[in-house]
Amino acid sequence: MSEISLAPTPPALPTEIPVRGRAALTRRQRRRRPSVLIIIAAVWIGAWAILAVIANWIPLANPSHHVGHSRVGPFHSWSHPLGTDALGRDELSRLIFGARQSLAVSVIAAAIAMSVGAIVGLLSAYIRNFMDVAVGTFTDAILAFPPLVFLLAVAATIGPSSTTVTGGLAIVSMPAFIRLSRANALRFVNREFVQANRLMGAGPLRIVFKEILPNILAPIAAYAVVLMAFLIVAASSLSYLGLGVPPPAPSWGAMIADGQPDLVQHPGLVFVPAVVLFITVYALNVLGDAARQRFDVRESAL
Amino acid sequence: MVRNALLGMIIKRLGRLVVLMFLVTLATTWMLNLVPGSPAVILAGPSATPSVIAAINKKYGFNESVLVQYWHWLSRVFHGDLGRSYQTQQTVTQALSQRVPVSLELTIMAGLIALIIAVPTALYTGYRAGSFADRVVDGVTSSFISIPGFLAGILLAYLLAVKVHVFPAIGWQSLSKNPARNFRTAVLPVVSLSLPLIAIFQRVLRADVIATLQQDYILLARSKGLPTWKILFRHALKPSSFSLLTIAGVAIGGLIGNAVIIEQVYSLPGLGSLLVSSILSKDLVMVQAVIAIIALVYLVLNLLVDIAYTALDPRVAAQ
Repeated sequence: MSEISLAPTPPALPTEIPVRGRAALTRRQRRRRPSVLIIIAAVWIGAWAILAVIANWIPLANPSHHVGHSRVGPFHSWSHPLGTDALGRDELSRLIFGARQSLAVSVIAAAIAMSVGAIVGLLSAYIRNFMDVAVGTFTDAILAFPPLVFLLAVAATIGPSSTTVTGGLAIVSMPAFIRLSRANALRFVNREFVQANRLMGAGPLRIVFKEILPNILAPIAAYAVVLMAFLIVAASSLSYLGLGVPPPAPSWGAMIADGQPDLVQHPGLVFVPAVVLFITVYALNVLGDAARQRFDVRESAL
Repeated sequence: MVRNALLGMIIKRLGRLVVLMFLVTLATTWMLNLVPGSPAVILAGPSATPSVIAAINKKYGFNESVLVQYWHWLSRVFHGDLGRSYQTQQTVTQALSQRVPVSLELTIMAGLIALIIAVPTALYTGYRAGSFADRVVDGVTSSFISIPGFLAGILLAYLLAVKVHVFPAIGWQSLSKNPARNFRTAVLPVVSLSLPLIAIFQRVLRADVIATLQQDYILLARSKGLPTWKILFRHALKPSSFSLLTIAGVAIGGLIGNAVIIEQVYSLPGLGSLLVSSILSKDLVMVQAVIAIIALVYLVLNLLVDIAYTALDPRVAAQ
């Protein structure tokens, strides 16, 4: 039985010695300065999210059919602002429908990994003993598979489809959520309000979900944003290898792979999707960093 | 007493490593059994008679349960026999002995280059936190983290192999045959692999250096009149390198698997491309062995990191 600690925690002592000059700014203060960057990042991500959602209602060419001459360069014609690919398909339309694919896969995978991971981590922190050992071994075993190798194996065994890609991504991102929620929950399991709740006769489910879960949601959600960047990279890497969402459905990774043979004559076919992919991942990293700083997620907790 | 604690820690960690290796290989066997389409049918070809397929099934034991198959595989492995490729009839050991050196060379070089660049940069930016140089480095590392590996590979190949013919765009020369040419073929892949590592190492170490520089003994070192570089490298680096060590173990250990993409971009004969081609041709014995090797490297590196902790700070073992 765990001990009930009645002693109040001592107030934190000021540990940081003031330094003069620029170094005096704490990390958080310095981070607050480039808020323009955060706004731009949020606008970029928001714009792509909206485009992805309304893609069906905006007058775009069919992303999977040829609509004009092949390999029209970007900014050459009004009807195809970003040009066409080797099969004469509209690049802008493929980018937008590709965003829909990438974002859907990443958001769903992150949501599954987050909810399952949080619950398993919470239970592991609350029950301890055998549960903790089992969960620890399970997460270590998943982490011993390099994520990409695991995804490749899943895609190859079950066959590439948006479901396998989403499921595979959810499984590889789960250990981090399990560890994060476990580490955060451990700080709360023996706190006074939890003890009080237990003494009042609350069952374990109520304690775990009503008392502890709300306290650990913020850092977990902050990590989910950072994870989104990884998920988009992983999904596009799989598509690049031809093991992602099968063609003719557009995806950013597949667009880059398709354009690669024409890289010398028509670099736009690679660079347009590449730049969009890069800015998206960059923007997600900026937002993730900001969220993480705000909710103070420590890397070491992972 | 500290020595005993260290020994106990190593034994406990080794036990854990063995358990994890069992789990990983068992999970791989189980997963490979989910492959749609019997491997015997693929091996025998489309026109094979049912009796031929039955014979192949019997020969390789494809009809056995997962646990029996795993047991057979395991007992063979303990006799030093990893099996023979279904496709090329080459022994798995032979294939691995060709591929592992390439992957190891890439991994080690990328890890070393990342550390050589990241450590001094992190020490300096940690010391001058908030300065112009710090913010520039922060911007650069952010973009390093945000470039997907295959994109970095394509861009570098485009700039340095297609536009300016400095390095070959694809291909590989083994180190033992022609070291100079090996170097030229290795540069672009190694650089592509090391970009994200540089960024991660720099950020982790910088954060810890800032914390270390607040300590009293740094103040003492400074008041003794030691030059800054000596304070940074001799006094601040060692106590700041715990997180770096952890991350480096995880990142370098994962590199051998994550190099799959870079090997594909530059057509390199490493473990990653072997894995992709064996997965695509359903060469299950090969897949099993490659995944086992990759997992083993990862786990051993993490074990070494744990041991290195105690070398950095003997108090860790005593806990």
